[in-house]
Amino acid sequence: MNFEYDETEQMLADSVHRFMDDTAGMEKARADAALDKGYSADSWNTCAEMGWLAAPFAEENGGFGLGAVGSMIVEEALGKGLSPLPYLTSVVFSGKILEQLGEAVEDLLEGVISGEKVLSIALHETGKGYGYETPSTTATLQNGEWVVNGAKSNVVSAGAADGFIVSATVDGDGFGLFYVEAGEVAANIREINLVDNRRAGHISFVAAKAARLDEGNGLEIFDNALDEVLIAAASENLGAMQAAFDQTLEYAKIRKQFGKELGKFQVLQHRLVDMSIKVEEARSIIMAAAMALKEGHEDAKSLSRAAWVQSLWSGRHVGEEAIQIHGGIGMTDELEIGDFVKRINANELLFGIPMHHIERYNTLMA
Amino acid sequence: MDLAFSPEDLQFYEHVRDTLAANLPADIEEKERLGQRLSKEDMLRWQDVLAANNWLAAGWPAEYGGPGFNATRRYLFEQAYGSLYAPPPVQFGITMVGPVIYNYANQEQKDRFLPAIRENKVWWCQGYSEPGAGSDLASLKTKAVRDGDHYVVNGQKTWTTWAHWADWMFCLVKTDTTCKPQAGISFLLIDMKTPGITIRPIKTIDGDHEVNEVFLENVRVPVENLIGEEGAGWGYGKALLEHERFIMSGSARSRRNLKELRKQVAANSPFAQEISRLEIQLRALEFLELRLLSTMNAGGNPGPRASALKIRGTEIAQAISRLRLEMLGPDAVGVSQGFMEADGSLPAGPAEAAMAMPTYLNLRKLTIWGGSNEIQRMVMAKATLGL
Repeated sequence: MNFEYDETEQMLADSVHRFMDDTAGMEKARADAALDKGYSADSWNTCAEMGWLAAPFAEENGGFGLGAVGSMIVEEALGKGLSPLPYLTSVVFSGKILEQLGEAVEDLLEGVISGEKVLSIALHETGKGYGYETPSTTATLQNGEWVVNGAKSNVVSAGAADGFIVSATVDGDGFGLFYVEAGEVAANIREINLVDNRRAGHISFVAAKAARLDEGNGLEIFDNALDEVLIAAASENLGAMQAAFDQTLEYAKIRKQFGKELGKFQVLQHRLVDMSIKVEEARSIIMAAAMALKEGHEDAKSLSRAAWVQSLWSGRHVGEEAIQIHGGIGMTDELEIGDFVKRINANELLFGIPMHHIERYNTLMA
Repeated sequence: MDLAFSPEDLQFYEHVRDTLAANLPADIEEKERLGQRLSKEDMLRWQDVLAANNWLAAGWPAEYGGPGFNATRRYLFEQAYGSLYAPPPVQFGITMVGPVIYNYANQEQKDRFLPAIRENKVWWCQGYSEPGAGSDLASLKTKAVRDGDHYVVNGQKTWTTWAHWADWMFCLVKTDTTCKPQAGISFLLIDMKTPGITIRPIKTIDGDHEVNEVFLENVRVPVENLIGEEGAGWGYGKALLEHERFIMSGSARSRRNLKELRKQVAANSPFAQEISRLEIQLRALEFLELRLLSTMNAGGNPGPRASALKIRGTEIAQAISRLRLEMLGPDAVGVSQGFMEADGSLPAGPAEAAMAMPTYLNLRKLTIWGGSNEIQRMVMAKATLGL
């Protein structure tokens, strides 16, 4: 039992945090979001060169073998930097699905790890909430080839993606995972802005040529990948809430009202303490979940859900209090506070609200 | 980073759990499971079992006759112990006055008092709070005036848990009223048989008699019962509060209680959602605890960050007792009850319901004692946030 980073983990954390300190932040994130891809291709190249895209993958797959601990470390820094880079969807979500599939998708995974290919995951469907397991999108065999039909919404970085992993219902065979090249749907992507400086797209798949990725075990593969996605996304929330808390604490020490600093008022001191505890609780359980998944503990699945839910509770509490304690200035678009709150909320809606994941947690614990 | 405990540590955990389970008297276990009150004799009988394994003073260093556990073992000991329906030991001797004595007392005092605590020979109570000095402890008024080789103590203590069962009391008294409040406080050990001590019970909202008022009128205490320096008692008292916080998260007992609740509901019950919500909070607390331990193992000092454990641990324990009430519903409204089956027999199940309400009420104390949660927040605001 040891919660201290080892040398490799510390090096990864130091380098990615340094990069974010130098190149990220609100102004940069907003400027990058307005670029063609919705993020900076230069920054993405740096991530690839530094090996951060390889961090969570097994060594035999061309990775650094840090597993969920690796993606957790990278994502915390991305959250702190409000980065719009497609790490969660391309590297963690798509990459961790591909990593379970073996040789058939070797090239694709290599592309993801090298950064040459950016993938996204087409999961959501309008009006279906988190009913992932029963997609309305269908996949059918036509003349020996799979085609996908249906509409997917809120596909993160859709405009920049080279290809999509799509969930679809297979006639008579339930849930399946398919790969569709971006060219198949290029004309059918309607790009939108998410609330948090990321871009996404609604995609219409019209007889889109596809390759089937799973062998009837799509749901299991999806769920395994989700274990790591939830921890990584929780860590992104952690980076955002830690920064929101730090800035609020700093502000409370300088902002004066009634002749004294906000931080001298006991009612605010107690609330700042509670915020700090919320951050520490989230940090602790996220670290534990990442280690459990990396080490293959039997309760890794439930712990991943628990860490995700805690990151949402903590993130919402810290974010809302950060706005409140800043007061009017916290409501303006000039501070980063609002952007942190938006990132945490966007992640919550994209990857699942507490109620949804607690339901799953119940069945895991029953 | 790694999450797993070493095989040796896990063996230790199992050894503690199995040993305690094998020696836990069935009647005591049953009382603890049902939340029933234990007699003084029950507690002493159980503490004798602990003492026989030298596990009563589980947190003490080997130098003072304790088992000398490192931080990880100390944690695992609490986890193993807390997983059973075994009553927690009375804290006043082992985690409160004991550490003050081995840290600040002279050799003669150590020899006189420490073995008796370790071996469950002496019951201690705590004379800190006064009617006008609760969270603001430094404003205490009980005075000790030197008269030859005695102090003459006058004043009143309150919320004194188990004063009516205690052999000795450790007491904060004013030996100097001219300086600033904290500086004039001394740490005195008082034999409860000394003339001039009157104990008056306080009945609490759970219907129990645990705490008391203690009146001290011209109580003559030999000067050799002063610990450390005259006027330095505040510092000793404060140091041991920090000692307490790790144990005060109560995470192991919360886990045990929550596990019991989960057994009683189906996965799709709305109560299962509530149980999971509390369990997720509890897991976050457990890993925060482990993270602070990991800091200690790496040579760091978590210091006042440990206050977070007390704050969250007590909040969660209270929330569990509240959820238990909700799950029992009307079965928990009566506090003296014997449910009946249609044939007139007494069913086993709802007997557990009788103490649910008193337990809920009793546990309100958790966020008040040991430095109220508001005091813990003040400590953290100052020491960890720099406010």
